[in-house]
Amino acid sequence: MSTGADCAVAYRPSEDVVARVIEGEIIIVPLVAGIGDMDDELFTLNETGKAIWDRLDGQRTLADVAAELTDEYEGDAGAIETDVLGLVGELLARRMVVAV
Amino acid sequence: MAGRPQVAARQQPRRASADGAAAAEPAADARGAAAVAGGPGADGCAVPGGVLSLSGDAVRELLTAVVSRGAAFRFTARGASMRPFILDGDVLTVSPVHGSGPRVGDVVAVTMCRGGTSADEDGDPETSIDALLAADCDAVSDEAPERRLVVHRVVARRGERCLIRGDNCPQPDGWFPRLSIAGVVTRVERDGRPRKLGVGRLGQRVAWLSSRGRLTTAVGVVRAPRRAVGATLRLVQRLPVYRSGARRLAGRVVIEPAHDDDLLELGRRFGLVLPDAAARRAAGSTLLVARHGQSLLGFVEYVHRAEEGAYHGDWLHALTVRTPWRGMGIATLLVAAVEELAREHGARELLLAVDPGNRAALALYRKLCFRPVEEGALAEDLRGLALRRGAPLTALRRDLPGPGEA
Repeated sequence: MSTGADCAVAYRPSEDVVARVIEGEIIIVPLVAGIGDMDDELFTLNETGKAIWDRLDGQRTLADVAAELTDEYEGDAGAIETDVLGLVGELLARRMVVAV
Repeated sequence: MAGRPQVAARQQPRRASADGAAAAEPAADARGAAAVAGGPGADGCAVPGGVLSLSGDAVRELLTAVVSRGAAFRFTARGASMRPFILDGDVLTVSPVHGSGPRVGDVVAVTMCRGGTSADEDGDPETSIDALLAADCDAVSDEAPERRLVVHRVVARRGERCLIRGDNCPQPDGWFPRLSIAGVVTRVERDGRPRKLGVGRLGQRVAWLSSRGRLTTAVGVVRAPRRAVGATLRLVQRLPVYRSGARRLAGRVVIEPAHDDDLLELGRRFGLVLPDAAARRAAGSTLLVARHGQSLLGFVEYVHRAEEGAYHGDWLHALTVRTPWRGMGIATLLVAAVEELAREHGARELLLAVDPGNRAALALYRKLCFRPVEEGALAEDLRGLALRRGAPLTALRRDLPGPGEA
């Protein structure tokens, strides 16, 4: 999956998805031609993905998100930034987030 | 961090059978599968797929979220409480409630508490669904309330309250505030094909029979002559004398963009999935209707797909003419109107996809000079879709003359 995410850009969930936290898990339903189809593929994020998704509010850039996660998880800043870029790149490729 | 972030594509499991209401209910023993298949925190960057088992409450929440965005929600129904119109395993599409709906006879998705309902007929019509559910659940059990999504029919209505009942249920579910109804079922599919839902005038009769517990008997009696009449009508419509006479009437048919007021009628009569106007515009869609006086005779959708990919181009979708009005050339008028729209967008070809088993549609499109698309990304993609969903589609195309060309 290509990674077209940019650290200096803020992203937010696309209008073409509905995301809900259900039973502790984020479920993402793509809206295709105005229909959310439970018989088609749904998407979930793991715990780390959820921490990133929760911060994609259209205000914080990916650099801000990575910095927050680095503070919170006390991890390696470079590795976390790579993870953030990787996930957002994948979400972009699936049209689940848009740049603001 | 606990592990590499991942997004996983997941699908709901197919369940062979279930008892109870026609509702989005999970297999109780399947919840564990979700944890096994997609537990958080796994290392590595591979995207895991797998089974995602959602509870009825989860499906209810997703449906509410999707419909509140003006979109439709498609899911598999479980249970037998809406037999014969909805069977276990049928795929339902629930659309937002338009205008002052729902009407008596509509099939609706409504949230209720397990163990029964119980909104009082004389209760406060302004009561919010959350307050109502909390009150109901408190009355039923001291345990945490279990809400469930139920798809049943509106069999009576008084002001802002609707009496809900399953067609195959011995008792009504109770009176519910109109605002507690999440959406209206606009389409039922069985084995990949649309089925009659029993709405509109038929729905009103069904509601009347349902409220008296005589629906099942009535359906058996009604079906036989209706089938005979439909078959006879289709035979008559093939006769040249009928077609030549009927085409004179078609001269008074108007083809025009659908009005907002048409949406409820189209959804109810044709089972059409109707995103709101803004969503249709964003998707490059224009809905055209064929009208004679106040009657809607048919419709078609034109979609301009600007995004690159297999489906890029100008598409004709969902060409439909009501049975009594077939054989009059109305479908040809609708196709011509779509061609005009496509030309206005600068299109040089028009595309469509048709069920290869639909012989009447194939004959019409052949007559209108559409030819099969047998190679390329579109044909490949449709072949893949047929394998995945078991619903074959054939793509057809037709060249459109440019400005000044014949």
